[in-house]
Amino acid sequence: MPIDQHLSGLEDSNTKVKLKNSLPSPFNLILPADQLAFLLLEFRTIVKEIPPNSYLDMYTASILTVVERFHPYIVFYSDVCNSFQKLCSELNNWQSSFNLLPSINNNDTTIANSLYDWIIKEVNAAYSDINKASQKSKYNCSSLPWLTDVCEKIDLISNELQTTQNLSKVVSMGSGLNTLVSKLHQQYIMYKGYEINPSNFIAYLNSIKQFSQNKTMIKLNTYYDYTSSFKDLSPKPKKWWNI
Amino acid sequence: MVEYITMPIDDQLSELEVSNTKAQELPLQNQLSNLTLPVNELSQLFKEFELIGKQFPPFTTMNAYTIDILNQLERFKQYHNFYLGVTENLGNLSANLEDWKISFTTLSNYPSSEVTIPPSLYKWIKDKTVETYYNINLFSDNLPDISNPSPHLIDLCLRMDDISKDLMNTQNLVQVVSLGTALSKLISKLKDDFTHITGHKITPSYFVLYLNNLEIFSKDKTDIKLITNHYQDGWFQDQSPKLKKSFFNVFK
Repeated sequence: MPIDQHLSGLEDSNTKVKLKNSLPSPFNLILPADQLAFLLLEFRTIVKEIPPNSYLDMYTASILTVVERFHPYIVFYSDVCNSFQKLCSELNNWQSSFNLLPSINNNDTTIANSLYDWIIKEVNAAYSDINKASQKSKYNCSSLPWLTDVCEKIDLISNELQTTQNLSKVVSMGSGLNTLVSKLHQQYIMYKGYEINPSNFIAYLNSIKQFSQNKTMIKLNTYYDYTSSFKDLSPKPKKWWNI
Repeated sequence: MVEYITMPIDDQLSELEVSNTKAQELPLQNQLSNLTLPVNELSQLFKEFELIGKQFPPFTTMNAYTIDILNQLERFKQYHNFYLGVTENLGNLSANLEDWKISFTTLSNYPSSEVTIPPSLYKWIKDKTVETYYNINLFSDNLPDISNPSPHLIDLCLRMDDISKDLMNTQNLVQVVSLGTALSKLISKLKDDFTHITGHKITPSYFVLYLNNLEIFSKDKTDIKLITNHYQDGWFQDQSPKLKKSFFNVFK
């Protein structure tokens, strides 16, 4: 009957939609290089102003301006750091599965499905999270040539990773990806040789903002952890009996 | 020469023997096909363990009302066996996988993808994996289920299940070695979740013993001072307000 043809067509299109949704969007893995460059420049601006592990006397007007400037990027910063950190840790764990294997010269050897799914899933999840985070955040156009270069390399490897299950290729690409992602992650958590914990750093910025309100000058240490202390140095109004 | 005469009963007996053998093999088949960790129960255990670990952080001296202590202890009590079973089985598998891995550190290269792992080494890893799954599932029976399992644990358990299932389907040396090593890494990670509180490593059997001692000491007291070294020799001090001893003291 003619209705059968319609129904079969409908079934066909339903299957196609399902297939499309279940696939993890291969060959289209692109890191938002410009947004990541902008975020890195903002991160560097704030850590230059309040460098880690220092004691400073500062006017709260300057502190608040810098903290306010970084405020819209806190979520983006946190998401990017978490995604890179998670991917690095997963790649490290995954990579250790192959430490016992010597060189494989045979082209026919394939990686086990579960180990292949592990790396593919984590890479896709990191791309998805970073792109989602970048869309939520406003940014001005910026670019850093070396960062664009690192991102392009990561993109190339990640896309190629989707096309093969050959053991020596997947292991070498996974290891290459691990090195590059770690390198990029370091840019967002290191300053002058100090490693910054992103969640402690954000908590520190919130504390400093709160403490600076209604003060003009403060002494602060910038250990970026829960032991950080602030001291009010604002000039006090003279008591009337001292006058 | 003795001649055996086959009687009808012999046929029936031989049939019975066959079915007995089948019955014996069946649980093993079930175990092999049931490589699924009880993720909901493990999530619940993890949450409860985090809760009690937060309440009694290791290496802390604290004053606490026994009513709060007893409530917490009562809540965690139903998970004691599951907790000990999970940590013991994960620890056992982890130790076995580490020993098993050493067998491959001196191999120089694999010339062909056809190389298979010797049956004895393959049996070692398979049996230990199946046994761990079986025991953990057995301990999880009759425990309360939860609706919101931790995403971190779901991810970890699913990955382990996938790897364990792959492991059952191949004897290819490269695949078995890489799968075994990955499983070892993930099992250690899961075990660490259940044996670390605020960065301190605890021994599950001492921890449970400590909780039992604390419960016994807290009975009939209102306020106690305690140190939480989570060893069996944990130290407690009664700080409950004491009743005046005699009728005459009331008027002093």
